[in-house]
Amino acid sequence: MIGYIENFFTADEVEWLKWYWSVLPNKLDTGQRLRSMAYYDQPFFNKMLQRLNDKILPNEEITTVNLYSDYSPGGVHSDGYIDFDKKDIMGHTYLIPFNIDGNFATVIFDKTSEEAVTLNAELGMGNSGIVTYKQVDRDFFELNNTPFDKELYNQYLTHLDYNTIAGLKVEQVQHWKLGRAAVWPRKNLHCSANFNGPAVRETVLIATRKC
Amino acid sequence: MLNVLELQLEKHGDWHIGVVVNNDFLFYTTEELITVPLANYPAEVQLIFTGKKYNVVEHSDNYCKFKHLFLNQLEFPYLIQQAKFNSDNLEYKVIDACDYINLNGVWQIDIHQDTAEQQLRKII
Repeated sequence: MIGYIENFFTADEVEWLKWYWSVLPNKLDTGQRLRSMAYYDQPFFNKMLQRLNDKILPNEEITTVNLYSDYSPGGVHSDGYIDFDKKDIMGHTYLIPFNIDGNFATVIFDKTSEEAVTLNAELGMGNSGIVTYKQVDRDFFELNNTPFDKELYNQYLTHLDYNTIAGLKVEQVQHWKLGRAAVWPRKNLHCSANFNGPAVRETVLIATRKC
Repeated sequence: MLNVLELQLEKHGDWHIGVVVNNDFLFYTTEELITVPLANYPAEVQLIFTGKKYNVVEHSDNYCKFKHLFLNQLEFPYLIQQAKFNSDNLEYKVIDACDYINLNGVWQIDIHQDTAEQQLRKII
C-alpha cells in the first residue's frame, strides 16, 4: 500500500509523543536530524506498544520505532533490511508527524530495494542523515537518463542534484498531517521534500515486517 | 495519558484505599488498579490503607502488593525506591521502598516534573 491512515494517533497520543520526545535522554544528531529510538521493545514501553500494534496493518509486526526532529531535508533511500533483519519479509514504513509547523511532504519513488540503501553519496550528501544504510550509485538501480519530472522537481526536490535522480519516477507525493500516517512499502525509494529551515518537523517512524 | 500515575496492586483481603494528592482528598477505592491524576508538580501522592483488623484471625494474611507502577503510560519498576510507608505499627513505623503492605498506614511517593526523565535515564 502507498497511502494514508487517517487519525493514526489521537490528539492525546500526539501530546504524549511530544512529551516523550522531550524526555528521551539519548538523541543522536545524524547531520540532518536528531534521532532517538523509542525503545519499543523494552518492558517499560509495553502499554504504548500495545497501542501501536493495534494501529498498523493486519499481518504485520513492528521491528523499528524511531522518533525524529528534522532540521534539513534528506536524500533518497529505502528502508529495507539491515543486518539484524535481513531474513524478514519487508512490511511498510509508517511516518507520522506529531509536531509540525508548516506544509511538508515525502516523495515516494518507483524503484525499490529490499536492502536498506541510499543514494546520498551519489547526491553529494555523503553520509549525512543516514549512518547505517549502504551507499549505492545509480547503476545499482539501473537508472536510465530519462529526465526527472521538472515540475515535481521544482516543487519538492530542489535540494537534490537534478541529473542524479534522472530515471526515477514518482509513485506518490505524501503530504504530512498531524497524527496521520503516511504509509509506503519499506523497499520503495523515498525522500523528504525540500523545506526551508528553521522548521518544526517531529515525527515517529515505524517499520514493520510481514508475519 | 499525561500527568497520570497508575498503580497496579495485587490485593488479598479487604482493603479500603483513600487517595490524596498534595493534601487534597481525591477518592476512595477498593480496586486493584488505581489511577491518580497529577494536576501539579511536585505531587505528593498518598494512599491511605485501612481495613485490616489486627484482632480478626481471618485478616492476618491480608496484604497489598504493588505489581506495576506507570507514570505517563511508562512502567518504571525503580520508582518504588522513592516510596515509603508509614504504618500504624510502632515496631515498623516507616518502611522505605515499600512494595508490600500488610499493615494499615499511609504509602507515599513524591512525583516531580522530571521524575519520568530521571527514571528513563536509569533504564535506558
